[in-house]
Parts: sequence; structure tokens; C-alpha cells
Amino acid sequence: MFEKKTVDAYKTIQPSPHLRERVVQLQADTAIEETKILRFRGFYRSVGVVAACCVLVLAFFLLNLHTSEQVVLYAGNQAVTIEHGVPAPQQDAQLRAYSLASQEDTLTVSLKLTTTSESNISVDNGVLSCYDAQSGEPLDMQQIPKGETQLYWTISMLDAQGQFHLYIVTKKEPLSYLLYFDTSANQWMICQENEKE
Amino acid sequence: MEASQYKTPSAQVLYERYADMLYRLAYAVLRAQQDAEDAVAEVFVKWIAKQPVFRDAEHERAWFVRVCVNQCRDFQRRRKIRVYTPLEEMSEVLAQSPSDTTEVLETVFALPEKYKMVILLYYFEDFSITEIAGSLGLSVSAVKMRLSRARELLRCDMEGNHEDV
Repeated sequence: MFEKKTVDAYKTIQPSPHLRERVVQLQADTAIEETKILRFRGFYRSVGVVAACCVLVLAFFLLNLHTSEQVVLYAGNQAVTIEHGVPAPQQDAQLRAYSLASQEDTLTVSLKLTTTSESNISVDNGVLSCYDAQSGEPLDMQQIPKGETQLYWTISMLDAQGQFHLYIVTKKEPLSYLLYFDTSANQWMICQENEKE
Repeated sequence: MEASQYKTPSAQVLYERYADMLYRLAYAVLRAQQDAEDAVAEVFVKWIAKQPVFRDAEHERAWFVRVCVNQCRDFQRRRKIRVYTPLEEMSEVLAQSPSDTTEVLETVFALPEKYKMVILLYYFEDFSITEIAGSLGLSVSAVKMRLSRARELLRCDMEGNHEDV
């Protein structure tokens, strides 16, 4: 339909050499831009990873704080710790007079336990009675609820030179307490031992 | 050929391959050298930004033509350009061409865009009807119809001026 000279004339329409420079420059600029973007992405990725780690650590800390268990055994007003023994207070004389364990050949130690979770208590010798510290309701040794619990631990005086253990087992860790007669102080003492094996 | 087997060439190779054709098409639509260059540059910006994956060379060429046509439409829409280059300026572009050739081209360039594009691709850029259909997103019959009407229009326009268009 068209003569060759018309087509040839059409083909002479060409862009200026500047267009090639523009396109080459565009690609170079884009490459630089992409490098910058990649660097930024890398930076933000690193920041993101660090932030995620911080969140995880914080979450772990908070979760741990929230679910951490606290078990404190009190002898009188003193917390029984692993460092040193504290005097084990005996049930007061008036109560002992009415107690079944008021016979002279027995010793009843009064302790108070505070826990933030359920626990189970046992002794290797003697008889342990547990009561809710607020209501005075008797409690099952195998299922001590969280809160304050009053403990009365009655042991036979025939074993006065012996050593007696009380175990408190929570979900987190088992604890062991030793009741012994300190001859130098001439009184019964209680201390925390290492964790129950 | 699968898409993964066709390796898209570098920007430089693509420039060599398509820049002149795209510029001619853009110039035919926009009728201003600077606008045509801007449109072609934009096509390459889009290619660089999108990095499209092509099935084959034909798919690649169709993509460039289609983006160029769309880009020209955008330019026209944005700038509200409906400027037709006077014959003198056209002659400047076609400095070495005879004046009768310039007049023929001016007549082609003055066609409505939808007819102009099929004429240019078919007669000047050696596209097949199928390739034009693929490039412009039209059916084969629509391309044939446009070619037929474009020829009629050209014949009417050229009547009295040239017997052989």
C-alpha cells in the first residue's frame, strides 16, 4: 500500500542520542535505588529481628514473672531460708493442753506456709496437720491451695536426737526443710535444705 | 517455549531492539519529539520497575508496544495535548525525505489513533495481524476491521493529492 520511500522516510524518525543516555542513566539510578532499598530493608530487618528478640525476652520475663511460684515457710515471724536455721516455735502451751499431742513425749512445731500455687506437703516422720490460716478449715496435705496455711508438725520426743524432714512439692520445684535439735542453742531449729532429690 | 527458558536481555539490548520503533510510534501519536522521548523513557522505567517475565521474544515485543501505546494515551490525557505538528516541523523531522513522502506520513499521522496504530504496525513495522492483536489487546477480526477502515480513510484523505498512497 505504501511506497518503500514512504516506509524508509518513516524509519528515519529516530530519537536523539540523549534518550539512550537517559535510559542507561535510569537503569543505573534504579540499581542505586534498589541497593539503597536493600540496605534499608537490611537495616529494618535487623531492627525487626532485635525488636522481636526483645519482645520475646520481655514476654518470657513477664510470663515467667506471672507464673513464678513463691513458696515461703515461716517459723514464727522468720522465713525459713537455706542460709541458716531459725528457731522452730512450738505450739503454745494453752493449745497444747487441749491437744491430743499434748503429751510430754511429743513436740509440736507451729509453722506457716505461704504459696502462690497449689502444693503438696509431706513429712518423713511424725504427724502433720494443715489448716487454712484464715478460716481454720483443715486441709488435705496432698492438695494445699495457694495462700496461707497453718502447719502443726508433731513428732515424738523419743527421737529427740534425730533429724526430721518436711517436703513441699509445687509444680515448679520440690523443697526440703530440716527440723533438728541444736544442742548449742538448746532448742529446736528448722532450716531449708537443698532441693529435694 | 516456557517462560523460564526465555531469558530477558539487558536494558541496553532491549533499547537497541525497541527504542527506535517505540519512539516512532510515540511520535506518531504525540507529534512532539520531546514528548515522544519522554514516553519511551517511561516505557523503560516501567520495564525496569516491573521486570516482567516474558514467554518469548514475541511476547516481549507485544509488551513494549502495548505499554508504549498506553503511555502515549496517558500523556495525551494528562497534558490534554491534541497538538498536531505543522507540516514544516514534520519536514524538520524528516529532513532528508521528499515532500510528497512527508505529506503521506502526515496524512497517516493525522488518522484517528486507533486506525493510525494498526496502519503503522502493519505497514511500517511489519507486524502480522496476530501480533497487532496481541500487542493492542484486540481480536484478530477487530484488527482486520480497523485496517480496512483505516485504508478507506486514507484513500479518502489522499484523494486528489496522490493516486498511490
